[in-house]
Amino acid sequence: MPTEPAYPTINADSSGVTGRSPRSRGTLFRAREAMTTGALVACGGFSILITIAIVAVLLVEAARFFEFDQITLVDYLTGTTWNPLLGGEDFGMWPLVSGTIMVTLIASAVALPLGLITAVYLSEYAHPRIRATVKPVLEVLAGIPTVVYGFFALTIISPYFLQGVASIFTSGPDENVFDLYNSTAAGIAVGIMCLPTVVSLSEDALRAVPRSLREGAHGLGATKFDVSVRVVVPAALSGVIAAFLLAIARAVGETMIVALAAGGAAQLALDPTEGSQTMTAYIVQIFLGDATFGSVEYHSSYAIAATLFIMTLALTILGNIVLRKFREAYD
Amino acid sequence: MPTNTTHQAKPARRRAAVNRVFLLACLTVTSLSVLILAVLLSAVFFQGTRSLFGFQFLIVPTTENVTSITLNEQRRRVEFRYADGAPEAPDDGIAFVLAPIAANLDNATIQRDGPKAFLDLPSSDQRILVGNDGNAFQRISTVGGFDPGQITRFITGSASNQPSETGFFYPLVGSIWLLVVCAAVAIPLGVGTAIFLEEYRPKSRPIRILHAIVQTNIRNLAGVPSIVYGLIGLTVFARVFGLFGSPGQFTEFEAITTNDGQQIIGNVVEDRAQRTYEITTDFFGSIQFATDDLPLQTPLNLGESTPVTGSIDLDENFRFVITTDQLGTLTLDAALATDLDQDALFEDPFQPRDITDGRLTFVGAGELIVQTPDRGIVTIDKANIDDPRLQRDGYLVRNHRYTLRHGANVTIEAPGNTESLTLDTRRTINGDAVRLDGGNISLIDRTPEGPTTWTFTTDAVESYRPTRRVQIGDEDSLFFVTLPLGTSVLAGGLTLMLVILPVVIIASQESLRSVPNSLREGSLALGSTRLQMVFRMTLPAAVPGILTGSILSMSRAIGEAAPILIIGGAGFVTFAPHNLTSEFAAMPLQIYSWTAMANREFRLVAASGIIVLLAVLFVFNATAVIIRQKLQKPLS
Repeated sequence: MPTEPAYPTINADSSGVTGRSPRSRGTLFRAREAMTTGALVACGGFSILITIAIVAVLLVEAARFFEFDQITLVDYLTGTTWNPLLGGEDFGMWPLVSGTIMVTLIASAVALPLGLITAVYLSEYAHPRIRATVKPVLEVLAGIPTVVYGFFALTIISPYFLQGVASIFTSGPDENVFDLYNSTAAGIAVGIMCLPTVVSLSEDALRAVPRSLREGAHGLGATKFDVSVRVVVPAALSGVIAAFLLAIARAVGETMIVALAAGGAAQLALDPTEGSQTMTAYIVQIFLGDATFGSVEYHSSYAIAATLFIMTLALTILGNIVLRKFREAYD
Repeated sequence: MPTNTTHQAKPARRRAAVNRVFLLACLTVTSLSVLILAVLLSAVFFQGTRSLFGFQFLIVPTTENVTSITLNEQRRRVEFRYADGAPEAPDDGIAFVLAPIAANLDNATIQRDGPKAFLDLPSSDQRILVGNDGNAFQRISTVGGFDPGQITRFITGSASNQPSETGFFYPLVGSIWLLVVCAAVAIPLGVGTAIFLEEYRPKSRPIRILHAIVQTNIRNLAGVPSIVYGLIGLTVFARVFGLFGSPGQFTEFEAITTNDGQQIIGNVVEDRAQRTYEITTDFFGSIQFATDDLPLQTPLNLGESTPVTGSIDLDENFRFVITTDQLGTLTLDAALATDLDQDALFEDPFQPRDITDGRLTFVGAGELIVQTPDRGIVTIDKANIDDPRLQRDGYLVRNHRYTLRHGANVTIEAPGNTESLTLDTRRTINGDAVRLDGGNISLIDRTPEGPTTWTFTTDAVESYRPTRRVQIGDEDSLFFVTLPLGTSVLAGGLTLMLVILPVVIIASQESLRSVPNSLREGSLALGSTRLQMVFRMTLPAAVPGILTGSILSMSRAIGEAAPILIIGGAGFVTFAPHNLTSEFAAMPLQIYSWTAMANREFRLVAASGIIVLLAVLFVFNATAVIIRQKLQKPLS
């Protein structure tokens, strides 16, 4: 502004910089500063409040579950039948936990190798132009709502992809190896959902490995494969493992895909061609059926949610610890 | 690698081959992710567009001997008529049937019956077309399998249990409501927390500890499954820890205010919409009659009257036949006459009389039969209410309080104990549910030991007072809130806020971190306080990044189904929200319900819903990208 002096003046208006020290300003100003600071601290405190609410609500409501006569903590932790509806009295968590583990294993088998290889390719091999194409595709995959993946699992993966693959290995086309609702279809869809997480976190870790390591290896006559697999991936291992753990945590907590595609029978899941109920799908089933407040089923969902919370929290914390503690610093 | 002897021993050619194989594997795997996206999108679009634009063709083989192809009036049967004595010649022409997907032509079969053949369609629709492409006939009409109107119908249509008629309007509007609530809370809170974490340097020890805990805590919060947030939202927002009663505990009543200021609380069990008129004759007195099709030029308002001239006659069946210029001819049962002049009737009843000074008056607008928790069945004349629709008031009752008369007979049914007694004094009792059975009222009080039921007759009630649920704000206003929040937009939006808050915080932190330190140092050097520095320098510089991050997290919120499913939004909601207390439908939930329905045709509708949802997400993401590119200026 040409008409104004280029330096701050003593008589600058209140919105300008006055040059006086903060201490010499009026009480009103200091009160406003204190209030703003207080608001910021309160914002920070709110996230603590959420954490406390999660822990407290899950603990209290799950504790009410164990107050029912027919339920003991030991049965819950060791039982192998889960049959809470229609007056059933079996409350062993393993059928639901095994369902979750089954889906998570299948998802990991899809997402972890595919994700790591894609990340290695994008970070070490790919031409910038290919990177610029693949990255947005992965971002789009990450942005698709999970209910859409559930739809995809139920209408495409299960009836066409899985049955198609199965019909190659079986005698006739009429034979249905896979049930319509099965863990494999749900697991594959969960894996696709986790793929962008694995790729983007691992790629960040791989790209953080300094160029000098790569140049050194190349200088010693290594091929690109040697550099990637024997130098870059080991150097970025902590980041890659953290990416894996965070992706697995997402797979464990995934709800809508398994609610749509994995079926609703809580059984000790050992057969990936059959349906199984996961912990999240059970909670959905309870709240779809208008669970009466205070009933055993209502409180059982909180116990299951508490178990789920502990599982995912452990994975997340482990992932963050791996990321922080085992990071190799190259400076 | 000199240290690795085995490796060194491998010939260079083999290592190069491994390298090439690995590159090939990489390319395959990477293109697989692109392929998956392509398959996913095309699967959704293939299925979704079929019902969004959707028509299907059925090609029917015909012969030249077919003389006509017609669709019957119910649009359920296609008739092929053959020439007399036509042999079943080889097919040399084709007819086609064009119908919406819902008509499900897969199951349609042709039955030959003499000179005719039928094609029965499983469902009827206004949009079924029949034509033929053979030599003998002209095409009736051609529609290219595309109906742009269907998109509008789908997006603006309301919910229906017919796949071809159902629409996506309420979920669309519901999602927007949820998003507004969610954004209004999550963005200020998230940005505030990010500033606290990135820019604020705490001096006092407790706040320093808080700072450190929040810093590590955010990433853990981001890893909590959304369904757990759903349960937290249910307990904290929808039920408010049960402090204000549980949502299921409420009884829904209407409160009807009459013209004299009386309030009648209860459920309308019958709404008699009849309009009642009274005609005054010179001879027989006045006769009331109820009719909806009175041929009046200008309808009367309540209490108004108009002069009537004409004639009145009594026929052998004791029915009045009134013929007037204004009404035409009306035949009325003589028993309906209210103010009948008995003398005149006996004088010479069966002789026609002229009406010279008659009047037609509008005396009543029907009745409301209301089942009340205090007076049993009450009939309210609609004439006593200014406008029945406006005077009704939704009323959610949490607690019922009765004052019973001295001398009333009461039966008390407690777990393991039933007694009948006559009250020797006036008594006030409370309970949380009421059951009505004719003139008897049962008040149910849920005590920890079990339900206690008080049963008494309506005569015993001296006064009755319902306790409404806690309400904040005016009922007509947008910000009307009741406690507990229940299955409301507010509870759903706040629950979504919990889910995306960590995402907003992390995104805002990152964009604050990317503001170069020179800006901060310059501001501080000119004498500003830390807060002035934040709000005048750092925050404005970080706004594009924060905005982008917020929009992206909102697009995550719009697709989240699990948490709001727990809050209870998966019901069949047939209205759009009108305030923060309204129930809601949401796009991802509606897609879930359609996909999970037993009727497979709804899967195609679900695919259409997904297309709309993805289109909304695309708009969000495109906005974020544009903001990122247009507003972000180089800062260093």
